[in-house]
Amino acid sequence: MASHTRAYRPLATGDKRTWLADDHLLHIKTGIFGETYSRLYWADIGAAIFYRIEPPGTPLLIAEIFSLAVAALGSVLVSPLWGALTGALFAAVYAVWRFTRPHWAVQLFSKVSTARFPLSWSRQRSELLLDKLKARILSAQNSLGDALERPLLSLTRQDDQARTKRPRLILYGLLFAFGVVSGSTKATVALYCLLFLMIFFVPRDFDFPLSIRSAIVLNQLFALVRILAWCASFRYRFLFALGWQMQFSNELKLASAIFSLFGLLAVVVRSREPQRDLIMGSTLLGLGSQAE
Amino acid sequence: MSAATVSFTCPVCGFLQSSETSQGALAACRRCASDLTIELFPALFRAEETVQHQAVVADESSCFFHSDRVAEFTCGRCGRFLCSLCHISWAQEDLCPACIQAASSGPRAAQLASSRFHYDSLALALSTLPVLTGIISVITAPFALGFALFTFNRECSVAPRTKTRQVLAILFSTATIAAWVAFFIYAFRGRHVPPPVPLQ
Repeated sequence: MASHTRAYRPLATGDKRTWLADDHLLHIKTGIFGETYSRLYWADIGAAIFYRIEPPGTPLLIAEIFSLAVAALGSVLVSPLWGALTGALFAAVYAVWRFTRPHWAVQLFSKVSTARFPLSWSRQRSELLLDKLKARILSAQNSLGDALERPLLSLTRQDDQARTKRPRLILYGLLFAFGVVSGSTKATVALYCLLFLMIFFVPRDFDFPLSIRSAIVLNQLFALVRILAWCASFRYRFLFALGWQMQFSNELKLASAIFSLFGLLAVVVRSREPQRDLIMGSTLLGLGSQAE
Repeated sequence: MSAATVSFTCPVCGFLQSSETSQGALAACRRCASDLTIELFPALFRAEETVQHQAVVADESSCFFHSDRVAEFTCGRCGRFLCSLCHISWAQEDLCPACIQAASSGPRAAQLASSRFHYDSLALALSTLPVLTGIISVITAPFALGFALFTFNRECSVAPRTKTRQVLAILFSTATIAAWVAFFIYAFRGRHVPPPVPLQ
């Protein structure tokens, strides 16, 4: 391992997103086969907002109802095993999200950048992590104590958080659009397949409920079965003669379409926040700051 | 620290508002009523510094890059005299722009890197996903194995990252190749017609 990697320590055990170095905080945004970094130097961090992550109640409830309905639909109309598997998968990922999701997050601001990341599921643990960050910031800024004569009048923020969400939303939107029309032509199936592969490497957004993502995964599982069957139809000509779409009943198509429509709903709900950020975020914490 | 009037956007609902706050103060969003703890640090109140240039007078050292400006620093790597404009404080060192540029391709490049490509994730994807399509894995498995081996020592992150994905990619692709070899051997043997036994 290179020597510089030893200089980074995770903020919390198991946290792959936020790393601490002697003079800066490294925030990693993971993308498709890559990651981008933003560094906030302790000496430059001007403010932090500690807040609770509120799960979106109603959309989450709709998501759960839709997901369970589709699992039940698959169980009744297609096969009990398939329905049980999808239902169990949903229950598992949903339980993981419910019990381990972070409830608290912090947003750090410097003159040139911001970083927003989750801390922990418990308030006590989150406050400990915040204290850890504060200790580093204050120890780096002790020498600034006598520089408080003139308040800062303006601080601009690079609203990168909102910008980075847009491609993801587009990707989800495309995925669901193809999910709705998949099965109509082989080209749409191929595009759906391509997006299906990509979606697993899309960065995890801690604000984006895992139940929504799990529904996406279930939707993709339906697509995967179709694709596998399509491949199998080349091997077994009698299936091909029947037409590969006929291997699946219309009910499964209906289930897939419901999932896709649900996904569209999730995307619409999710897209509200970035839009707000773009409108209002130009002066986020951007201070008409007047010391008294 | 003194109190300050801060305008901020609620990270929960995105509502822009102003609030008088001090260090560690609690604030509630006016729209969504979320509890927010706002921490202010001295850097927020730091006065913006403007670089003051000093002209060179007799017998004074001048900046290597600006001969009309007095040298105030020395580059920690190349030893060039630098004025306040050319001086860059980076990673607890005083450096000149040329040395910063040189460092961007050296062993400390990670400290300047803004992104990294995940060769290990791509290798794993190449070794596993084509298996779903069946016959395509005949071509992709050797390619995935070669890619995983070729990029094994490539740095995929500036933060600590294990080699698990690359090891898994090598194992998967090796297993796929072995499976295809076994399949072809079996198929070849199945079609092999034994030579006729000569009559006694």
